[in-house]
Amino acid sequence: MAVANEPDVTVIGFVRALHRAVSGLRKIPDGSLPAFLAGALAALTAASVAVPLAAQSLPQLHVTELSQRIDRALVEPGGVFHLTIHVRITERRERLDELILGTFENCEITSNETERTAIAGGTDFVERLSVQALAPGYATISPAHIDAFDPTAGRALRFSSNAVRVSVSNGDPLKATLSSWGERARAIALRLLQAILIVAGLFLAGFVVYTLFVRRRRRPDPPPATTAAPVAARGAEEPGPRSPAARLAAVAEVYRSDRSPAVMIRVREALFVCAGESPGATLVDALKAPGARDPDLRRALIGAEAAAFGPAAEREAAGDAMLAAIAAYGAATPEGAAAWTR
Amino acid sequence: MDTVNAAPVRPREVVDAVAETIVGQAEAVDALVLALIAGGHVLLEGAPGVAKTLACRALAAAIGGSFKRIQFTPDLLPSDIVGTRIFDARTGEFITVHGPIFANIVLADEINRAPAKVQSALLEGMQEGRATIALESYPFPTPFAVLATMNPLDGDGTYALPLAQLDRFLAKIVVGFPSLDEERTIVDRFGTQAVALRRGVASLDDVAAWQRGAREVFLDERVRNYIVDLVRATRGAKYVDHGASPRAALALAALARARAYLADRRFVTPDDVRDLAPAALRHRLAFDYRLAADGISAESIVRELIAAVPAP
Repeated sequence: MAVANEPDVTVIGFVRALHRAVSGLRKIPDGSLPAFLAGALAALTAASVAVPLAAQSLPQLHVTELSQRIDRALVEPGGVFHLTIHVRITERRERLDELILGTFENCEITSNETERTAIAGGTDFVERLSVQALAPGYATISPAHIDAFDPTAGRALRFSSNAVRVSVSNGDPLKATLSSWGERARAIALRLLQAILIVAGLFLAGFVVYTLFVRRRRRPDPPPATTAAPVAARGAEEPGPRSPAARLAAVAEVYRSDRSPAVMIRVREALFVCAGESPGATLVDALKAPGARDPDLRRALIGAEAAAFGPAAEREAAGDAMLAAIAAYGAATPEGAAAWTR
Repeated sequence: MDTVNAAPVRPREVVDAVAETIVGQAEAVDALVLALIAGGHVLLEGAPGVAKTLACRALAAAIGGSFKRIQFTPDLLPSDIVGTRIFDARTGEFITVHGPIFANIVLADEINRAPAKVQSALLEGMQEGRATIALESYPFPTPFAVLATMNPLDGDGTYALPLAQLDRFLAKIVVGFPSLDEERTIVDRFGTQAVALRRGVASLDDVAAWQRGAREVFLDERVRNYIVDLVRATRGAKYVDHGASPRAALALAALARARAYLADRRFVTPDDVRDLAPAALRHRLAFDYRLAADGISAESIVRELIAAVPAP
């Protein structure tokens, strides 16, 4: 990452030119006035043209990356760490003399190494510096920068890197390292907590919106008022949880007075349950079930089939035959007999 | 239960007569008679030598009808089936010669060995109940039933029947191998003597009466709904590319009525429907590639689909 700012090229050029002119004046021997005047004139001329010349002398560079990185966060006094400066430009260059290093406080460079790589659409420069920390405290390296005329921006810019800082400590390196890791872990935990809180907040907000708007819209209209069902009669039809035989007896009793298909279905289902089959099975399944060994129950099951699915004209007779078989089956079952005679 | 007495000879007697000739294969024999009662055609699938052809011959003999067999081959022509007009030199006129399709029971042996043109000629006749020779249309004798066989083992040199043509068969029966005892009986019975067919157990009029009687069998609304639910369950089911058509529901209802009639019942039960559903549905479904990829048999899928629909 590179930070680009306007460089102070005008002042730099003027001061540098003036400095060179004054240095020249001091070197002139006494009695050489004509030479002095000529020098002064040259200096003034140089100063007057310094501003445009300095701006024009900036190289054309478009810097896309300028960053500094260190390999250690903590060193002992006298210890060495490494600073890596990464520069990426969009131009093809063999050298990058324009890179100005930052100030090295409480540390000094011991060696350096430059690596250049031509990449697609530019050049990569990596400057690796070995830096020795000096006294306990902090070793700080201010941002490196490049002053250049950016062709894409159409003006002169200063591209700057980040600053880096290394802790220089006399303490136990392990302890210091652990302490450093602890700080990092704490920072990560804080960020995680922050993220979790944000996500939870979003969920809560979404739930509130869903509850307030979506569910309210989907809620069906209240059912229209209906007349009350004959509760007493229904109670007689559907007795509470009892044995299958007792329930069969109860529903068969209802069938005696109500020969509707709906009641017939319930009688057939009750017969299936007595046989040990569930509703949804067929007569053959029920006859194969272990509970259907009783001949009366088998007769009732077969009769129920005709009463349930036979032609309307024949259902009455089939129903009677079924009821007779159920009665015989009920008498043969103690629970059923009790329910039947109740 | 009540009985139906519309005809002097009961169809069960034909079943028993065929069963005297055929050892085992009770399901196939029942299905053949059911299709005859329902007025439909049957596709029999099974390995060679499992009495498919013999069952058809025994059925034709038992009802006293005409029986013709057509061996389907790749060089068969439509005129070999429906017939043609030939010039009679004595009278100096063209006369019509009916093909083997003009019979009460037509056995189309290995139907998938003939090309599509020949299959179409047969299947059109099955649908219309008549054939056109030159410009004249001739009705088939009644009752008319095509019993077609397919051998699932030899795939080479066969022409698969399209789903639309398979749909015209009322039922597809899978004829399996006989059991150990049945196979021993077969060796004892047919090892030394010729096959004896019981002839004239019933008449063609009896068959017509059965067909009328079966149409009068009562089908309760809930059983009808069960039929429709079964057919609809095949559509969009896993592994099924194309489900069964409404013709399948009609076929299943007809078969169930025929079964009730065969059992001397005046009404159809859910058992009739459930037991015959595989025969009515198995040849009407198209399965997708996943079936083969997962190594699952089509028959097991059909049975699972049927089992998943609760009976009334």
